[in-house]
Amino acid sequence: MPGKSNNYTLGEYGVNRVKSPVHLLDGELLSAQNAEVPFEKGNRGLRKRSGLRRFTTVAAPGAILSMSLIPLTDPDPGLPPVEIEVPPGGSLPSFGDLIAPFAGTGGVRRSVDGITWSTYVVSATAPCVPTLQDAYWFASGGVLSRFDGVTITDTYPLPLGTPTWANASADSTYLWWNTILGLERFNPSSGAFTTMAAVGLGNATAMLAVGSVFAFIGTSVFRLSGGAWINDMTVWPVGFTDHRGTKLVGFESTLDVYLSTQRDTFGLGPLEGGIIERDGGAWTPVYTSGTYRVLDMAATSEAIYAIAQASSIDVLILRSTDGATWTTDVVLAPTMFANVVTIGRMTAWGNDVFFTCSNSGAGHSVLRRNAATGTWAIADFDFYTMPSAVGFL
Amino acid sequence: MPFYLIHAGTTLQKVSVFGNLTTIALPAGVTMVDTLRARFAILGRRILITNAVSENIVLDPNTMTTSLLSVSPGPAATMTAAVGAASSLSGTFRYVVTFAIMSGATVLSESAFSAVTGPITVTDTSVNLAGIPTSGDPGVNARLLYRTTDNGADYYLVTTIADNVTTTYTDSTLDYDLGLLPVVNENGDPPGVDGTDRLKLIVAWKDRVWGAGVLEPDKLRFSGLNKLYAWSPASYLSIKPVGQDEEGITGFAPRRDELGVFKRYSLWKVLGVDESDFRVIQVAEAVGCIAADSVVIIRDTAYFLAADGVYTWNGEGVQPISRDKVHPWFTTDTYFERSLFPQAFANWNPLYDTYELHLPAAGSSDIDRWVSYDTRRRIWLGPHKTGAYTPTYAGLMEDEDSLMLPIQGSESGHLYRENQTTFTDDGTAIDFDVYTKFHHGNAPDIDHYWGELAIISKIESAGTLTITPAVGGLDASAGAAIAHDLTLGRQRLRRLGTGRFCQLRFRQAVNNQGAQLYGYEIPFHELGRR
Repeated sequence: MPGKSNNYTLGEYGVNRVKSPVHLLDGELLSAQNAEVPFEKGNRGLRKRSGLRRFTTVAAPGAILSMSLIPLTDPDPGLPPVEIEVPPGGSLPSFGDLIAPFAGTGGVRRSVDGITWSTYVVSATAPCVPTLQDAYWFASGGVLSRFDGVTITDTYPLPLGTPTWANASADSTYLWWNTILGLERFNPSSGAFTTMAAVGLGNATAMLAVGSVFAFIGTSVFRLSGGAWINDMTVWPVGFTDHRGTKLVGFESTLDVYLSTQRDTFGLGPLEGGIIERDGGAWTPVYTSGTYRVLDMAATSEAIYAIAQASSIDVLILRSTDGATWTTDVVLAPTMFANVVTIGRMTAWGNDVFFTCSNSGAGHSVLRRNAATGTWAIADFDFYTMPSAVGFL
Repeated sequence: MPFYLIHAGTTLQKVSVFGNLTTIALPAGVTMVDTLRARFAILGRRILITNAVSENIVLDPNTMTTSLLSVSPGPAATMTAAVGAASSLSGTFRYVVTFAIMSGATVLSESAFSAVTGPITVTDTSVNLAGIPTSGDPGVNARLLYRTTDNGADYYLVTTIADNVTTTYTDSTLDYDLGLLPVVNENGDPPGVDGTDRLKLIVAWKDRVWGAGVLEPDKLRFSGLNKLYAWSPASYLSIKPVGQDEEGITGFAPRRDELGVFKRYSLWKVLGVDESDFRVIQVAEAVGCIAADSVVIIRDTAYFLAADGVYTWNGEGVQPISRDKVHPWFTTDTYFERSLFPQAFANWNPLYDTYELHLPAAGSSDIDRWVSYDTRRRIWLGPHKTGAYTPTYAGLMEDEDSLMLPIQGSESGHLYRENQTTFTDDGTAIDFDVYTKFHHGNAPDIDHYWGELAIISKIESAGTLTITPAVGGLDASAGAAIAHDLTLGRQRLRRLGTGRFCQLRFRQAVNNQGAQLYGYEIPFHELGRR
């Protein structure tokens, strides 16, 4: 005799360990580990329970044995934690196509897999700084142009010429001019620029490039919150006094961030640099070097990668899976190339990592680290110019 | 903004709503242990901390400084009184003095009265007091001098000596100028004044702190009205049966106008408004609480862990809520380490309206599992676990907007917020693992051919759900796993096989990957009896 067991009351009667397995109702379960019945009205079914998130900035000295809410005024609540939204596992989302603008030919190279690249647009101007917000934006030749993946449209005059850095935030793209410490917020919806006051930043060297949170790295790290600059990340560890940050990435959890550093007197004194970790509230050196400065970093869900350059010809890419132990992933110069003339920028795309540089081997290249094989190779190159960076649509 | 106090290791920490920790300094000579749980009670905007401290202490939340609850011992030496110089004071007087810890004009703690000095009779002279005792307690910063009126019996405050040094005082205060009201010295010491005893449980109720010690565990002590430090030796109620076991009082459940007082196998309640009519009534016999931290009050209903499961106590009496569904969880050794049940702790998750009870897995020495009881649907789910850390405590806190926020404490010293919108435990995958009933098509004696399984699930952007069928008898072993594509919403999967029963196991343990099942269908044919 045919029949059908339809069960659309899954979990509605919870776990039952009293009845025999034969006598359980359809909505009863033998066990329901990490399951919950949605509370929303009309939203039935059984689902994985919602997550837990660490929110203490540093660990208390020992197990939490008891606690109590004190509903009285806290005389010193401190500042909110630096909320840097890092995707789970620390990886950046691998959505969209990869984009690499080559200034010399004015071409925008595009790839869907990081392996095969093709030219989509030949621009009259040389794209310089790619930005990510709403679409792909190029800042070059005094204008900001929008690229929808096929053509460049909607150009806007840049208020301070071609910027040296750009970063996307939740609702805007921020453009930064290093030499004059200018900072402009660009609203892609309206095409309007807004000058952002950056009082006291001084000697800024880079901008935060993690998730949707925006920060500015100078002699200390400032973050922009509610239109105001907050300087609550300025806890430089011993040995990193008067160093400048270059790149901030998140890894492992929402509260662990890593900052690459280089000495302010680079070019005038010894090369020094390193990587410091902010696990909650304190900065701790996790990599130090008197030989290398660390110029850029990128984080995937598996590891953090950092570019280290010595005053000699040596250029390395470092890798760490835990943020504490750093090993050389590849020797770009003098092993992979005889010389790396210009250091570009590093981008994570899924678990692959892309890096732009100008070298004495294949010219101006986009390098790719294949996560599956763990090897670096040239993914694309141009004989005339180095791509300013690799981004994604 | 509110804040939290946590007992972490051998320290006391303040945690702001932003997660910033500050170590709170303990009074000189006071230490904390990591073998007992600190207890907290708030009265008069000050926080009493007991049990895990070597002496009971009080935290002033304005300054985040701590002081001893009790000034002990009180004055031992007796002052001397002599006729002084000419003045306008006439009459027969008696004097007493106390040690005090003060903050400005506020008395934070005060000892019991000293022995009486006098009577001394004077006529138009002052009274010279000498030998005013000083305290060896470094926290004492004042002494309060009291005197009777002429031939009176009640004591009134004469003056506050704002130091712990001065040993003389000249009293020429007229009766008219004494303190307005007589002072009833109900000051005494609760357990926890020294290392001989401790207040193992405390709770604030009716503007007093109620507590139970270890040496006299059946004695329910209570403080003076709005006085943390005043614990008269006469202010107690006996919770019967007295002397029946070592545990005595095992928990408190403050509900509306009743204070529930648990013993291991009975429940009592305290009624009344003040010392003149406080009385104890037994609520239940053979049902009590075995884990003080399992008691949670949700909308005037107390939930607690008893020896044979979880019960509620409310206006309708005491009711078992686990007996009909998950009784074996609490009465067998299959699921949990019952020997550690007294260490269980619980909290309320307001979002899901669940009572979450944390228990040790069978054979574990940690409280590494929890089960949840949906108070609205009256269903149990679990046992749950996390791979991110080992929970060590849980409580209902508030966030920066004073919104309720369930929090778990961990062995690593971190606090974790529940109810996140993502399906990850701070970067660690959540192991969703569910076993269904044994389907039998209403004919458990008949062999069935179980056809193609159809799954209806919430459409996700990615991910798979692993379904492992077990087809056969009630002892059927797991079959080959089936992958359900969570991006489809509905998927017809392979045939399940032949057997009397068919059970499904749903599992998904990918970090930050949600999974929600709406239902499933299994077509079958009856094959016949074998």
